Amino acid sequence: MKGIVFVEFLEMVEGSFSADMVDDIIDDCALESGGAYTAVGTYHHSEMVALVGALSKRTGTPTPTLIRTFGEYLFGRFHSHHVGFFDGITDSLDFLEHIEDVIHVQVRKLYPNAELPRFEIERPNVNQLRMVYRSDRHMGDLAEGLIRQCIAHYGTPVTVERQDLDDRCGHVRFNLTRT
Amino acid sequence: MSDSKPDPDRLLRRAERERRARKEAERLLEEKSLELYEANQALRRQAMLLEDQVRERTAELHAALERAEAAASAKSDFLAVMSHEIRTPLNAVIGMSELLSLESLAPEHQEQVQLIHESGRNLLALINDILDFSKIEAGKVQLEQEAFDLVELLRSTLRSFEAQPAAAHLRLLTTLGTIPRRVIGDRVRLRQILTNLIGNAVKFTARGEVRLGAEAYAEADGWRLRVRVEDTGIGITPEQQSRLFEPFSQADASTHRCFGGTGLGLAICHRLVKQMQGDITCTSRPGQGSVFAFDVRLQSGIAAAAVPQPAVDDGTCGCAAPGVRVLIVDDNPVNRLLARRMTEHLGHHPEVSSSGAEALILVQGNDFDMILMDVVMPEMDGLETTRRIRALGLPHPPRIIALTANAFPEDRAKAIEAGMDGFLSKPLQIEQLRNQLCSTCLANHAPGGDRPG
Repeated sequence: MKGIVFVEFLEMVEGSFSADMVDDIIDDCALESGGAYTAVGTYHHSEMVALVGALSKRTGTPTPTLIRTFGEYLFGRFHSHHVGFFDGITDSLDFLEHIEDVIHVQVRKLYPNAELPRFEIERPNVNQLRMVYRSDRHMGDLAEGLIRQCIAHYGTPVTVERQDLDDRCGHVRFNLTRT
Repeated sequence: MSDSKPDPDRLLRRAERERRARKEAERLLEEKSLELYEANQALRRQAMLLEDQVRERTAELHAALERAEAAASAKSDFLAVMSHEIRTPLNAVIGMSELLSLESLAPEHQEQVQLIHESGRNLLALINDILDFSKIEAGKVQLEQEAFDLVELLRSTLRSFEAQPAAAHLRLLTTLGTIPRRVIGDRVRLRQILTNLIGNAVKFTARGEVRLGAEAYAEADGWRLRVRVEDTGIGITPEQQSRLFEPFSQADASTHRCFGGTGLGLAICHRLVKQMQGDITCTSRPGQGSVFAFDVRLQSGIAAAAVPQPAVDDGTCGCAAPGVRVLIVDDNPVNRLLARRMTEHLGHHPEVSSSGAEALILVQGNDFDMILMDVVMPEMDGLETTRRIRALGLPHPPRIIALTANAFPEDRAKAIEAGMDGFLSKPLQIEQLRNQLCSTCLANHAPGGDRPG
């Protein structure tokens, strides 16, 4: 997993809780990296699972909620870092529809070996979008957070219906409908 | 943990974490920098390698081009030399066999002599075609821009076939649309194309007709002449048609056995038509006859301008007064012998000279009526010799007739300029020589002629 995700996660923890909480969850986990993350590095995905688990334990908030919240946070960061990706797009469904062929293409330019999730996208009509998420990283909740924040960013009300196609958040269908 | 006073140990560990993260980032940066540097170097090497390859390839191509040009130049030099070397003895064979055929021979021998004569002529036609094609291929054919009568050219070219035995059972017809009489272009080359196409049509048509059609369309500064040569002959299959305009490809091998020819005629036509900014096509079906159509560009001739006709005297005369004094100037002994024998045979008085310098002396001590002057001679050529003879201002200037292998317009212009009066093309043919001698004879006896009979 790219270091940027870890750095962003720890910054969110520091902002939402405290710097001490960051120290604590790092101390809670025996991390190979020792928690010394740099945005340009790459670290094992299990370290993220461990950190989220530790945060959940300490705060009593369920892991899925924490990951979804992180997804929402991450979208905001993504927007402020890469505002160019949003050029000319005025609608959340349009933005999400092109996640594979536009956004992921751009991300791969910046991070050539990034392991990105795959989305199967269907756009039956202008008001509907179906996204099927698949990833070995089981970050269906992160995807949901990103999607929800994207909708919030554009402002147009869209309902998100989530259907888990396995029990490990690795295969999830999102049906988005503009209301 | 107190909010106001962070644990120093915790701060140390944070600092340590930050430091390690920074080091890791620096290490990654270094790694990436190195990768970039190496990729850059590899690209640079690749670019240099490509440049070297391009340079090498360019040099190779340059060398190949030079070799090809040298080879082409050697080829055309060789052809020029061979042309002369082959034609000279061949002219002797043709001329001597013609002379021999005038003797009273046993019918069997007469037939053999005729065969020698015809074979010689065929061989000469073949050599001329090959040389002509080589010249065209080498881009050495410069088209003339002379004014001529287009209608007359079309009609006379077709007419020249009427006397041929092969055309005896054919109707030769012309269909001329709007045709300007005066045009500017290469008359000789245009006639060559027409002669080739009509010749083929006649050759491959046993009965029926050969029709020459022509029409001209006005174009900027000139005319687009479209010509059709139609026949009712054996026709050509589609696969034969595809190779028709390629050199050395007759319709098939059996064509050669039945009809002879070099297989170069149409290739030459094709090249010439292209050079005249046109195209040539063929439509045909076996057994249904063929249509060859071509178009060429001609410039408008100035209507009022008189069309200069080459000063060739080819009118026959019934002159029965022999005794024309002829000087034959040729460096080749066989040619001299041939011309001398023919002149004698016709009842005139030849003298021979093997060089221009010698001829200059001879003309001053003798009173020649006519000089047969070889154009190509070592040291002093026929043109220079003619100029010097003219410069002598002889009281009775002889008629000077050029002997040339190729009577192309440029050769004619040069000869006229040098002061010559006419041309005979090699191989010398007895009928043509007779005509020239008759003309001289007539000039001698003409009232007001500056010469006593």
